Amino acid sequence: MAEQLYYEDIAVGAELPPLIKHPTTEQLVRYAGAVNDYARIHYDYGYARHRGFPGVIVHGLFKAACMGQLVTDWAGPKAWVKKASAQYRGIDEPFHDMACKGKVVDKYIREGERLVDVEVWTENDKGQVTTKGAATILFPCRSEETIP
Amino acid sequence: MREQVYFEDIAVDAALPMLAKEPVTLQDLVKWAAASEDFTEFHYDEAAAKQRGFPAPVTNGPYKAALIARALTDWMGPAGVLKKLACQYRRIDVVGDNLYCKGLVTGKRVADGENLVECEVWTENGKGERTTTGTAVVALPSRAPIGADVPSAPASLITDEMRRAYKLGEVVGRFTYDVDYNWIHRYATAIGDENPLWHDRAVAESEGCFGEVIAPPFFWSALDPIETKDLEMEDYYLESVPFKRTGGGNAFTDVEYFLPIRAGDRVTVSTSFSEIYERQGRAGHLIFRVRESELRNGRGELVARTRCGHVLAFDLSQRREG
Repeated sequence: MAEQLYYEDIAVGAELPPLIKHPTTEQLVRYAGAVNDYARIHYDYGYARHRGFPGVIVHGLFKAACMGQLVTDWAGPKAWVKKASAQYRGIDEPFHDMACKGKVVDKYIREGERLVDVEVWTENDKGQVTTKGAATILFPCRSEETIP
Repeated sequence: MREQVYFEDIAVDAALPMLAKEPVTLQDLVKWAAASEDFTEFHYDEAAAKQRGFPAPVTNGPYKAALIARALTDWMGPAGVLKKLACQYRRIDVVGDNLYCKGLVTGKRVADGENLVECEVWTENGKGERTTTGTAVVALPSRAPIGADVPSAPASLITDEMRRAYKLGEVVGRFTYDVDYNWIHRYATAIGDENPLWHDRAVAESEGCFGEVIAPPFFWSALDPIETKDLEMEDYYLESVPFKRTGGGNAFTDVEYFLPIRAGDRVTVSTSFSEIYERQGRAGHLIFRVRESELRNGRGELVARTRCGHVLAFDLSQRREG
């Protein structure tokens, strides 16, 4: 598990360590089962081609979840993601690398909470941004180790 | 004055020309105080600013909004109209700091006979921190009369029947889901997330910020009644749209948590449709349906609010066979 990051340690402009995912069709089927989303474009090649896609495509929310992993891996177990968003810009196909990246855009204290805003995105193996997103994370600080 | 820009020339995702103020001077703020008749001392009096704990006189928020407005009006040309500007003042700027107004085109649409461009706008200080964030809507002239290039195109594909089908603002479905540790574990396994927080109770209890197993940030999508088909999207009227449908899918998803989703929670999800709107995008004429859900736990506490946009794309140059 990643080490805990503290509010004091975070610099605006810092990049999150990239997370490279390589979604497989097994993962897509497992995901369909885990979220009860059985839309056929995610596992039926014939149907996906009929719909005009090159083949089956990765669920948008699967990509969002990977951006979530990027953030939680980086932030550590005592940080809590309070807000998260994703916009789906382009499709991704399984068995292609998908890089999840992010950077810190702001940090501030609001109503006693130490909050950090990050911008996140996914890139396909051609370097095109296929998902864009953002998250607001509540961080612990060094002087008080737990969130009340 | 800049040359006139036209609606057709604007690309979604394009950056707006930047306006730089290097730096904001005390004279700028004194002029602003006089023009706006806001004589609050810490905006121009160094001693008053220091007494309030600021390093120097503080740049007025509305001055920053005015600079953003200027960047927009410079860009849109004399025939453009700034229809809407909303700014949030997120951080202070002070005299002597550089200030950069920046923006990005986020969407284009035609509404009530106007060609509207939606923008994200912000100011950055010299450290690259966003000190003001906002949104703007600008109306631009068109090179041709509106709709001239597609003479048969209706102004809107959204019908009253469609609006009625969605009962905007009313709760249209309420579903209850029992979230347990196994479900969280299965979800994290599916996305290949091996963080022990989702797979090892002991780690979650000793290391996690809530001392128990909680769900990863996007787990709520497993509880989205539209994704799970517990609730239908009311798509029947699409048959009546006379143009070829060229695509569609999820456009965006947002979540805000007030409490975590915990293993063991019984979560009740109430969903309503909040908006239907159209715009022109790279993929054609787009119809967006936005739904909002409220998630409450077994104690009735608000856990999260979510907002999801689903988009349908139509090609207005291709009429559908009757």
